[in-house]
Amino acid sequence: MSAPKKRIAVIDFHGTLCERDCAAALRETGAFEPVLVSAELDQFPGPIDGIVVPGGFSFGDYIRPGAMARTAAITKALRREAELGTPIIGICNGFQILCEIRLLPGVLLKNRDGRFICRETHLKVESRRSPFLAHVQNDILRIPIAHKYGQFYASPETLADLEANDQIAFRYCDADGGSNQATNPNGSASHIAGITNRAGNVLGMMPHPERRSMPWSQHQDGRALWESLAQ
Amino acid sequence: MKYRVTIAIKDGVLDPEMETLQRLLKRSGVQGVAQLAHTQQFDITFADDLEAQQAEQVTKTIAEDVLANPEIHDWTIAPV
Repeated sequence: MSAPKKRIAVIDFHGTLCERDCAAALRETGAFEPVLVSAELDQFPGPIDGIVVPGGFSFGDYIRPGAMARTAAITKALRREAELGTPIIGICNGFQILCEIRLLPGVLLKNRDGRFICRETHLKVESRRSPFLAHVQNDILRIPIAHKYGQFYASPETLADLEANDQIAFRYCDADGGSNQATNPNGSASHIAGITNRAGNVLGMMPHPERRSMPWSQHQDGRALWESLAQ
Repeated sequence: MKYRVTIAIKDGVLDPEMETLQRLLKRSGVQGVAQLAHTQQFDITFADDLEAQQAEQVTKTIAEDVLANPEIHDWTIAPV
């Protein structure tokens, strides 16, 4: 008999767009039972083994992208799960939300060039502390970004902390893993594309792994994250 | 009773919109602009029977929890 499927909550804020893509990517691995959870609930329905905060435009990006999520009922439960060590991944707007509710340090500012960017990027896996990265084999993944507010910013002290505590999960890079201004699509500090919290269980990233996870995707580099969590 | 929250971007944080505006102003012939910054203002009107002290506290909470992000913003509040 195969192992029971892990229940993964996929949070749906008003204006979230990528919840179905994330659920499909999770289901595609065969290891998960994704559960769509409205952000209006004040707790998760039953025990869960992980949480996805998907991309989109929650609350219309009012105030700042992700800022209004602080007022959502589910946010308290999300904080509690983060403290309990539940694996959590925030993608794109989900990353912005995790920063705005202070589960992750820093903030996502408007891109260096002020434009929305939608294209494939190369990412160097810098740390495998997140359960979504622990079993990722490749050092370089190709995963697309699609955002206007993706420029990671943190104070010099916070950046030093992130570095010292091995919290930098991904850096934008070229096909060989090198990073410079030309490989940095949005001006992110230290070329950062994703970070974790201090404990490592909360991961935020701007690129969309769920968009490179399906049989019809042009490749399946994004699957590595879901498969890592499945192990 | 009304309180105003003013939110400004901290020194050293890039503001691409203002940089672009400054560049465009220069290109269109406007002289002498050394720096451009924008602030956001939020006015919060409270029920008449609320104590001033409580109104100030609520304003601070809203400013701190929702309107500003301490990583990039400085904020002040003042009665209007």
